[in-house]
Amino acid sequence: MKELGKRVLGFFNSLRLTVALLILSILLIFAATLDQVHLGVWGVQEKYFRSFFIFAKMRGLDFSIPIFPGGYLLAALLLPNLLVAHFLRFRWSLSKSGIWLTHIGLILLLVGQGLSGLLQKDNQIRVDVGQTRRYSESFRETELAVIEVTRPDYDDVVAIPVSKLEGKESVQHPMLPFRIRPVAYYPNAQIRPRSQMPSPLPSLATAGVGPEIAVEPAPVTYKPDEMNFPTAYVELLAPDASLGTFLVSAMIVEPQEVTYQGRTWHLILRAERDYFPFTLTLKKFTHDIYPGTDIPKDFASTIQLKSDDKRDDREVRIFMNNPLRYGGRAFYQAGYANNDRTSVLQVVSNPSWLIPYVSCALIALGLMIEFGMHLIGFFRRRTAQARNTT
Amino acid sequence: MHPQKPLLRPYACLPLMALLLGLAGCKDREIRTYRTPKEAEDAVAQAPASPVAAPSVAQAPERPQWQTPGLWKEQQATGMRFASFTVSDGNGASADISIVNFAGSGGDELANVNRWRSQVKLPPIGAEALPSQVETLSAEAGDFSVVDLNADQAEAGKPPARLLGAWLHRNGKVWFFKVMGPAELVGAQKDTFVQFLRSVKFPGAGTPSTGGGAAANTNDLPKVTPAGPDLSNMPTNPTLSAEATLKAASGSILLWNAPPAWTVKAASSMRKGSYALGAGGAVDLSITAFPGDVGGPIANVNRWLGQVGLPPIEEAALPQYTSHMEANGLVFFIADTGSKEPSNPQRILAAVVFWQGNSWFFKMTGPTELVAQERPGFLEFLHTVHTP
Repeated sequence: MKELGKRVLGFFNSLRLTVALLILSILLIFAATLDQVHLGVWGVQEKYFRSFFIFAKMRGLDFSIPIFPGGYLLAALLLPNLLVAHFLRFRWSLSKSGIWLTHIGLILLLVGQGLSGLLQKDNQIRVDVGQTRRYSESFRETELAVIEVTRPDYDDVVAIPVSKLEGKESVQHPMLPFRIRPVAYYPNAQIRPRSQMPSPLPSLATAGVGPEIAVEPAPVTYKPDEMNFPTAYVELLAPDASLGTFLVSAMIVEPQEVTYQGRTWHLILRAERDYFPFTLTLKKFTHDIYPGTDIPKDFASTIQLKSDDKRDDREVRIFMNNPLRYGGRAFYQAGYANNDRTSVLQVVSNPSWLIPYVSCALIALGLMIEFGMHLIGFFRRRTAQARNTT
Repeated sequence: MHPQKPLLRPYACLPLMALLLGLAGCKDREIRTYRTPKEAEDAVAQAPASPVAAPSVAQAPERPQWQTPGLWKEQQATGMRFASFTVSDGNGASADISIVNFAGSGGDELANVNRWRSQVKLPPIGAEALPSQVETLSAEAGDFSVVDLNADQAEAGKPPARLLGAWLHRNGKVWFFKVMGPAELVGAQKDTFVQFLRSVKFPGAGTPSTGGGAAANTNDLPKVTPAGPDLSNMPTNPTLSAEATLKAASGSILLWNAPPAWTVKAASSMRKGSYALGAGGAVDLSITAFPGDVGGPIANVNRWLGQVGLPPIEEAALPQYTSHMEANGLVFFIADTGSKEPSNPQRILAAVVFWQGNSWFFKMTGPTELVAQERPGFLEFLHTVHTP
């Protein structure tokens, strides 16, 4: 066992491994940059960097095989390589403190990037002047929201990630008196009224709007200007009976109603939402352009921020490069629409957002100490030389 | 080089690696539950004038408002439809009006147009022909893309079909508005449809509407009137927008109620209303409006006499052809070319009313016998003409 541990550490202690991983990283970035033409930024990030392997389909094979290490795998090897080499090769001493801090800063940077990739959420808010918002919506992720609307003053939401509908396993939740059985799932599909289709296939839906709608599955798109519309058939199964099979789709914007045992739910497949314990009301949106051109000079949203606990009720101004940081989220001015009546804010929540700042500070400090000590040593030597010659 | 003695046991970094790999494997999302304040039907409509004091309402799907033309009968919106209407011509023919919304761009525009074309039995077009098929209509809600698809051929036993379609991209959604039915009826509804599109508003994006979430009907005609006037100049609710108020103030508006037996024909830019009357629809009734007095009574009568092949008359002979009638506060000048020449094969019976700087012409043209038969109905119809 001890021998195995030594061999593992020997593997990670290798400088050859470092060089090999760096070369693979360069190749990965090069290939990803080229493929960005086909997949767009998001698609490339998912395929090349937020994966352990790059998969490809080979001729004659029905399934994909891994052909190259992905970003996660390279980082997962590079990090222990750095750690093991550092701890085995360097011993703590005051004279090495600069190197130590620089290395720790680098390690922290890698860890922070990994955490950001895993924990960061990028959402957006579209708000018209005079409107109030208390949630943001995901750019990419979709959820099946089962909303109990029985109560007059509030709604109870069970938000099921769309990934749960991909399998065959029923979804059960204590807040729901029925199970949700995935019948079919399409990561991207167009829907049309059946009456407009020449010969639509029979519908799997038996309730809601589904029986009137034809589904046309479409390939998943990664293009930045196109969206995927996940679509699914789900059957609601109460203990005593089936409540029907519903068609849910990100293209259907009106919720479908289900009533059981005197309670009513709305069923809707929608962009994943992140609710805030505060509200944002857009009071004013300004959009300045450079005179004589259409080039934006500045665009800014004046927002009334009101927290549910009544601690905050203040006006804030969000403009380019000046985000609002509040409630663990950063609100950036991202765009505008509808002849400047709608403001688009990007909402980033990243619990590890401070790590890159800390690691950069550590690296800078480490380098200052390292080079400072060299400089002091240089001056000392020069002073000593001067004394010796005089 | 022999490694120096490390500060930490090298195994110490293994749990960190395991933690990171474990985190990487935990990307799958879990079910979340939360409680939210009630979603308002319309967050904007409920927001008070001062946005500072806006209530904490969650976002509800954007719901447009519009003015429903008087002859459109609202239907229950089923399935994917956001709203649904029908309009009929009184002879059993009816057109279906639907409003549907989808998230996203609604797919390829060419595919949408070709799908609509297939519904009226028109062959598909290529991308190069698309710009010539699609017109842009700028309205308060945004820029509508509008198509008018008129079938060349009718299906066996059915009248040729026509489809008026429009779509509007807004806030990541696309709204489709469609009128489909018999070509004549749909054609007669074209101006009404355009006016309807102009009336579409999204609360919060512009002037707030006084109407509720459902369509507001500002027409005083019965909604189920089977046939009636072209409503393209229907006055809009003066509280709605400055543009609508200006138009109503400067334009001449008249309303009427056509008998169910009259067949609605396609209106044109000249005709405010168009109907077919009599056996086989041989009598044409047109309703037009022109600024000023259009030459006065003698010029009009002589023009009509010429149109039915009769010689002009002197002004002194005018009373032999004309009469006056008053209804709903309007004074009609009525001219009948058949008054002195009942044997002439063609006959024109026309009524002119001067209203708000415009001469409104209600003119019936057709075979003399048929026009004579329709005369009582025509005079009765004039009694329904009134101001807004």
